[in-house]
Order: sequence, then structure tokens, then C-alpha cells
Amino acid sequence: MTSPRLSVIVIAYDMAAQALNTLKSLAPGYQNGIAADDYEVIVVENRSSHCMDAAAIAALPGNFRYLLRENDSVSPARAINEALAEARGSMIGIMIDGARMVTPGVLRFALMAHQISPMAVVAVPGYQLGPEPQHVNTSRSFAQDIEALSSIDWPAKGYKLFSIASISQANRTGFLTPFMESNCLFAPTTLLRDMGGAEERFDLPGGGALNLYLYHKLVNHPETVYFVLPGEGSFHQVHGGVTTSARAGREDFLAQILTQLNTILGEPFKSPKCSPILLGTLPGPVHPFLKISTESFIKRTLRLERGIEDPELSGQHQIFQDLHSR
Amino acid sequence: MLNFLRSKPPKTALPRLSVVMVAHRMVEQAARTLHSLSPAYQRGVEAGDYEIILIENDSDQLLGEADAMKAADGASLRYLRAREHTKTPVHAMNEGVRRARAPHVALLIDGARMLSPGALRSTLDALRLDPEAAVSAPSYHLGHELQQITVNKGHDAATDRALLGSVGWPQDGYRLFDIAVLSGSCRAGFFRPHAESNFLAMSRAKWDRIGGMDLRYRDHGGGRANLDLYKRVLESPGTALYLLYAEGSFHQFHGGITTNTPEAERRSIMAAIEAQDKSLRGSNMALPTNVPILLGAPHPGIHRFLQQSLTQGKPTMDSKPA
Repeated sequence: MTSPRLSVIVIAYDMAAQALNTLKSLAPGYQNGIAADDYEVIVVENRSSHCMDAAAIAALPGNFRYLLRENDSVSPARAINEALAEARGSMIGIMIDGARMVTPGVLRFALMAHQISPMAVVAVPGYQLGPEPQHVNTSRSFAQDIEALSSIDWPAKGYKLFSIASISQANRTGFLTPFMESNCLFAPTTLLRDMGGAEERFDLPGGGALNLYLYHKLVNHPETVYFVLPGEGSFHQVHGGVTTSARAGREDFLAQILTQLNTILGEPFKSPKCSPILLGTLPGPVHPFLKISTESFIKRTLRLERGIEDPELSGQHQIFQDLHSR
Repeated sequence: MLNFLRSKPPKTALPRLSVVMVAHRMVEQAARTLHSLSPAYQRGVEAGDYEIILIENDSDQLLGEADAMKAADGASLRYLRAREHTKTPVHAMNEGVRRARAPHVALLIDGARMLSPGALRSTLDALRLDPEAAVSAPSYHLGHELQQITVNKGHDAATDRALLGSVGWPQDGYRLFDIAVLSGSCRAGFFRPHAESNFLAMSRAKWDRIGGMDLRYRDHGGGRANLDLYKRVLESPGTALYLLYAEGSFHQFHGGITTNTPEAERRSIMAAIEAQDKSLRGSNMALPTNVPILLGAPHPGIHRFLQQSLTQGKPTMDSKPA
């Protein structure tokens, strides 16, 4: 068998049902415009008391590889790097949070961006299931997610995910303005390997700000070409995420994350400001988010024209909002 | 029919794209369009990536080869002067494409339509993704209303000159969006079907398969030949549409038949055009419904048009590949 063009890495921990939904959303048949042989999915699960059903993964069509590893770290960094070592594609997709399912054109358009430029970095906008952000409605349950998915006839109608979702804090101003991070991010394999993969100094639970760091490094790299897929999305399902909900000592924990990020960066974090190339179709249900995006884009441009510093991108303040929302 | 007064095939390496442009009695406008096609103006492409084939139909107002070369500012340009005895660009367009050397062609049937600076680069990107795609940029008119309307209020070539001067053209070609409105054929914005394209690229093989322009549109500046072509291209099997939503072709006033004729006269011409089109196409005039793949980097100039597009209803639902 020839090597796949794309390797998608999915990291899971204690989210068996949510991660299985994510894998279903990555399977051939659901993903359109891409052949099964064009890509592989490497699922790395850190062992917990609720591991995924290996037989259910094996039953999925396409090239899924399931690696169950001992949970030797609270961070997903090592898991990502183990998958990266196994990956055969020339482009890597990183889904650091296995609870994020995707729309049906994500892989097709990511590969198209890679075809336009081998140095393409592709960000998929993030959403959360539910009419309001999950960090606002902390009582929302996975059972409600299941009910919502059933109401749109998912997985038969993948683009209807937009109609049962709200926009993520990481890209709360839409897809025409810069993001804080992306939970479904594609980059050239050689570049990721040259960068040393996922920075393992991010050793806080959930990786702390590992994903922001990765995004920051990739889109600010002088040779990368930055793409956003406006008509696609990754959709967060409720699970006991490390920064989610009202945990004791939450503020202290977030401060720790920010300190670690600034230390590893060697300077105070600032959100990337690069403008994207948009690529993709715009399915009907994305319309409300297109509206949000357009309004934010106009406001931001007018602000910048007047020379006003962009409050959305001041970094330190925004990062807290982003982390709060996880 | 056409007689060509000169043709000079160059001996350079093959370009990736042949831009075929037709001009007739539009000296000043065609010169600007040529400049908008030059490597000095177009971003992210080099002179060797493309060639321009300009067919200038004979008249008492000719741009001529020397001035065309000057305007094209370093582009690989082939100039052909044609003796066209009917009022139509269709023969010129077909002949221009016949002489194209590249595997893909981009059509500017109205040489008065200048381009934004990323049009060629984005076209080449899209054609690399899908060599059998159709690639289109939305059409605009210079002015604050459609030129069909403003011509009755005194809009003329001097008005365009002043508008272009107000944005310092050609320094930043994207400022064209600040002085333009969407053409009637694109009034539904970026997310709904268009009636035609004034910058349309495709493979030469596809052009040959569909037979090029329909030569029966031999009057009224070609009438609806361009709409007919657009529909046939987009509806040909296996054709994905890439819409360069952040680029555009911008119509300058040049006394064109459908865009720049005063209202009283225009009404009777439009009736004749409609009758001709009906006799040729019958009732087969529904807009092509290909779901566009958007490609390009948003810039401040498209604010108004994004807003306008949003008022035209939801994008179409189907996102499956062509």
C-alpha cells in the first residue's frame, strides 16, 4: 500500500464516547472528496478507567490506528510526539482534544491547501455543541449533546453541526480575523518534526497552553502559508476537560498556564495577527457565523485604520478568556 | 468574420496561463486593463507564468501594438489586430484562444475590465488544485451605481479617470473595490449564483470540448454570448467552480453597448438582445447552480460586498465536490 498523504493525530483521555464520535467524523464516507487511502488516523489514548472500545475503532472504515499508552504524563505532548513518529503522511492534522468532531470537508480542503503550498498551515474554526458556550452553561451534559446530534440526523448531515453549536472563544470573532488557536490544525510533517514536535516542557494537565504555543509557532513561521477553512468546523462535545467548569483553584491554574507559556516563549504571549487565505465552500448552516465573522472583520479593520490597538489581540487578557472557555 | 493583420508567435518557454482579451474602441481603458495584467501590478506571479493575447478589433480608435506593449509593462504580450465586420467579440475570442499556448486560458471578453492584483496568482492556485475547474472573479462597475444608471447622469471616461485618481490607482489595485459596485450579473453577491463572468479561466481542453463562444451571437456587442458561455462552462460535466471572492474585474466606461448606452436607446437594444438570446437558447437560461469553492485572502475592500452578499440569503447547502 502507498503512503497516505495526510496523517491525522487524535489524542484522547477519559472521553471514550466523545472520541468515538470524533473518529466517526473522520471516517471515509463521512469525509467527502477524499479517498480512504489518502489519509490515516492515528488515535493515541492515554489510559484511564474509561478507555475507548478498540473493537469499535477497528470496525470503522478507513485507516485507523489505535495506540493505547500508559498515562505517564498529565500532558498530551508525549502522546502527540509518539503519533508524529508513526505518521506517514506529508501533512499532519493535530486534534489535541479528541472530543472535537468535525464537518465533512475538513480533510479534503486541508489537503487542497497543502497542494497549493507544501508549507500550508491550515486552521479549522472551533465551535461547541449547544446554543451557548459550554464554559457559560456548565451544567450542560454529554447526554444533551447526544440529543442535539440526534435532532440533526448526525452523522448523515454533518454540516448541520453548525445549527446546534456556538462559536469557540479561540475564534470568537469568526473566521475572517486572527484566531488564538485551533483545535484542528494541519501543518507540514517536515516542519513539525524540525520544530521538535509538541514541546514537552508543557507538562501541565491537558498540556496547559501547548496548543496555543503550537499554533503561534506554526502561523508565525516565516515560510508557512496560513489558510482557514471558513465552511468547516471542529465541534467540542462536553467532557471533563482539564480547564472546563468550576474547578477549585481554577484561577491559580490558569495563571500557572500563562506563566508557563510566557516562560517557554521567552516573552509575553501575543496572539498571531496574520490574515488567512480562505478556502472552501460555505454550507447554508454556517450563515450565522459568516455574519458574525463579517461584522467583526469590519470592526477590526476600521479600528486598525484608526491606528487603535486591537483589543481582541492584546494577548494576556484574551488568553484568559480562551482558557476559561475550554 | 476576421482577417488578422499580424501575428507573432514567440519562442519562449510555454506559459501556464494564456489571458485572452478582446478590445474595440477603448484605447484608454484597454491600456489600463493591460497594465492591470502586467507583472508589475499582479502579485505572486512572474512574467513567464502567463501570456496575454490581445485581439483588437479594427476601428478608427486603435490602441495599437506599440502602446499595448508599453501598457503591459513587461508581460509577454501578443498583439493581434483583426478586421471584424460585425459588432461582436465572439470571433476574436475564439481566435485568441485558438492561438493560446498555455494549457489554461483566462477570458476577458470585454477589454475594458481591469483586474485586482491577485487575480492571476489565485487563478493559477485554483487550476493547480483542479485542472478541470472553472475559475471566476466577480464583476464590478467603477462608480457608485451601475454604469447603466450613471451613464444617464453624465458618467463618462473622465468620471472614471477622477475615480481612479481618487484612490491613487494603480499603486494599490485593491483600492478599486472602494470605488465600485457589483455588476448586475453578480448582484446576488458571493454566495449565490452569478449570470456570467468577465474573468473566467478554464482548461483549453474544456474550451475545445464546449466549442468556445457561440458564433451565432454576431450582433449587439455579442449580446448574451458571455452568459451563454458561462452557463455551458459551468454545466459541463465534472466542473468545480472556484470563486476568487476577494478579487474582481472592474468595468470602465467605454461606450459599451449593454453597459454604457443611454436609457432610451438601451431599452430597444436590450429587447433585441433578449430576442436573439431566446431564439438561440430557448428557455434554457436558468443560472448555473454550481456551489462555489471560495479561494482568496479577505481584505478591507470587500467589506461592503460581504455585507451585501449576506443580505441575499443563505449560501446553498450542498458542499459535496463536483
